Amino acid sequence: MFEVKDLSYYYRNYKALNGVNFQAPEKGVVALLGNNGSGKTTLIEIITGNKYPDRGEVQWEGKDFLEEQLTDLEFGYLPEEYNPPRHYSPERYFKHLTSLLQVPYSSLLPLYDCFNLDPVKKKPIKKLSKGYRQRIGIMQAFLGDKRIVILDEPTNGLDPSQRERFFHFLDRVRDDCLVIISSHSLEESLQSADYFLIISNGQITFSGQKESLYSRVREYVVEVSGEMERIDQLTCEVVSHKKISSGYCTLRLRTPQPVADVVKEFESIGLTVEKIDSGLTSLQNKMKKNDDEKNTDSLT
Amino acid sequence: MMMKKTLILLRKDLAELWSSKNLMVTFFLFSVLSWYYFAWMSYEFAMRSAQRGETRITIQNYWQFNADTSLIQEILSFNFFLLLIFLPYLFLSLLSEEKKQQWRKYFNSYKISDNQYLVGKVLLQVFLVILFLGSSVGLQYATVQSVIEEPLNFSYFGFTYLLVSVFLILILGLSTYSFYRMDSLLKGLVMTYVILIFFWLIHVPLENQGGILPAFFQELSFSYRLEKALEGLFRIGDVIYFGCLIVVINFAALKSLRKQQL
Repeated sequence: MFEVKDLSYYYRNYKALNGVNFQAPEKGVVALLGNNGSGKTTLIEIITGNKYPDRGEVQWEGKDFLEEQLTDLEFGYLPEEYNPPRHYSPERYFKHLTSLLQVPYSSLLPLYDCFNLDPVKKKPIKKLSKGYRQRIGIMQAFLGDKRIVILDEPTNGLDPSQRERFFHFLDRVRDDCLVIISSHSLEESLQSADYFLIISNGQITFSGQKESLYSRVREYVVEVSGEMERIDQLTCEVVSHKKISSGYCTLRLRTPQPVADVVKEFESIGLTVEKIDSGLTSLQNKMKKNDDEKNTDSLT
Repeated sequence: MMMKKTLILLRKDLAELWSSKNLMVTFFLFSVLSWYYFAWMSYEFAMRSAQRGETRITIQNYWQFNADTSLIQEILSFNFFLLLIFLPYLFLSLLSEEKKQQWRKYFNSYKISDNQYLVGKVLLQVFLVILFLGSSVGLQYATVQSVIEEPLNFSYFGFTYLLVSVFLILILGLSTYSFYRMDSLLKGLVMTYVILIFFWLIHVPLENQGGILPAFFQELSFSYRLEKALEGLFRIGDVIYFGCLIVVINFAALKSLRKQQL
C-alpha cells in the first residue's frame, strides 16, 4: 500500500500543499488530476525526494518511502520537463543509465520496440523530436525491475498514435507495478487509470475508483468568447462544441471540477465565460429522476 | 560501489564536456593567447639580450627578464589571469546545461547520493585544470627550449604550477558553490568573482605586518600566497591552506545543493 499522510508544503508564504492524504493500491495505474497550479508537480516532487515536506510523510508498505528510495526500493521517475543529454544517442544514453542501475543493457531491448525507438536509437538526441525525447524519458523511468513508477505529464508531446501505444504499454505493466501518472486530461486518464486522485488548491478533493469518479462528474454548458483555437488547451473533456459566430461558441463539458474552477480554467487560457450552466451526469440525472418519480408517487 | 557510480557520473560529464562548443572555444582562445604572449615575451627577451651583447642565452638570465621582472612570473600571471576567466565560465556552463536537463531530479531513482555527485564534479574540476595548465606547460616548454641552449630545470616551474593548480581547483569549487547558491550561471559567476576579489584584496601594508591580527589577515590573502609562489618560493603551507579551503568550499556546495531541495 502506498500512503501519503497529512502532507503540507510551503513556497515561502504560499501554501502549495495543504494536508494531502490519500492511499493507493500496490499495483495498477493511478491518475493524479488537477489544473495548473493545483499542486500536482509539488506533490510528485515530494514523493520523488526532490522536495522535503514541511509536514507529513509518505509511506510504502508501512515504511518511510523517502528513506526506502535510497536503499531498497526500485522506483522510476519522469520529470515534467524532461531533457536528456543532447549529444548522446538513445542507445548510448541507455547504456549509461543501465550501468548506473547495474542492470544488463540487453534487458531493455524489448522496451525499444514498445516505444518504437529502434529506428532512431543511434541518432543524436538533439536531432529527435519532442515526442521521441518524451518516449526516451518514459522508457528510462521503466528501466530495471521497478515497483513504483511516477510519471509527470507523460503524454506531453506524444501524437495520438504514440499515446495509444503508451496506453497499451500501461496495460501490460499495470499488474507488475504501481504507476502514478499526473495529468490535466480527464479523458485520457479515463482510458488508462484504475484509481483516481483529484487535487485542487493543494488538497485532494477526490480519491477513488473509476466508478465513483463517474458519479462525481458534472456536465456544464458554457458560452465563451475569445480566440476559439484556445479551446484545445482545455483540460476538461469537451463533449460537444457549437460555433455561434466567429469568436463566440457554446461548449458542453464533462469534468469533476466545481464551477469556480471551470471559470478559472477558461480565464487561464484567455477565454471569457459569458454564461455557464451546470448540469449533472447522466447517472446522477437518472438517480434524480428516480427520486422525483418516487416523490410524485407519494404525493398522489 | 560509491566510487564506481562516481566514475560513471564523471564519464558522463567528460562526454558532455567533450561535445561542448564552449570547451572548444575557450581551449582554442586560451592556447592561442597563452602561446602568443609567451612567444612575444621570449622575443622581447632575446632582443634585449642581443642589445646587451650577450652571446649565450642561459636559463638564469632567461628567468630574469630584466632587473625588476621575472619573465616566467609575467607569463604565469598572464596564463593565470586567463584561466581565472575561462575555467569558471566553462565549468558553470556545464552545470547550467545539466540543470536544463533536470538530471538531478531523477537521481533518487538511480540511487545516486549528493556526495557521489559532488565528488564526480571535483574530479571533473581536477581534469579541467590539468587539461588547460598541461597544454600551456607544453607550449611553454617547447618555446623555452627553442630559445635557450641548455635543458630546463623544472623544479621552480613544477612547484609553482602545483600551487596554481590547487588554487584554480579552489576557484572552481567556489564557482560550484556560487552556482548552487544563486541557481544561475551569471549570478554564480558574479558571486565567484566577488568572493575572489574580497580575498584577493586582503592586503596588509608592510609597516603594519607585525602583530597577530595583521599576520592573520596576511595569511588569509590569496594574492600574497600566489605572489610568493610566482616569485619561486615554494611553501607547503600554501598548498595545505588552499587544500583546506577546497574541502570547506565543497562542503558548503553540498549544503547549498541540499538546500535547493527545501
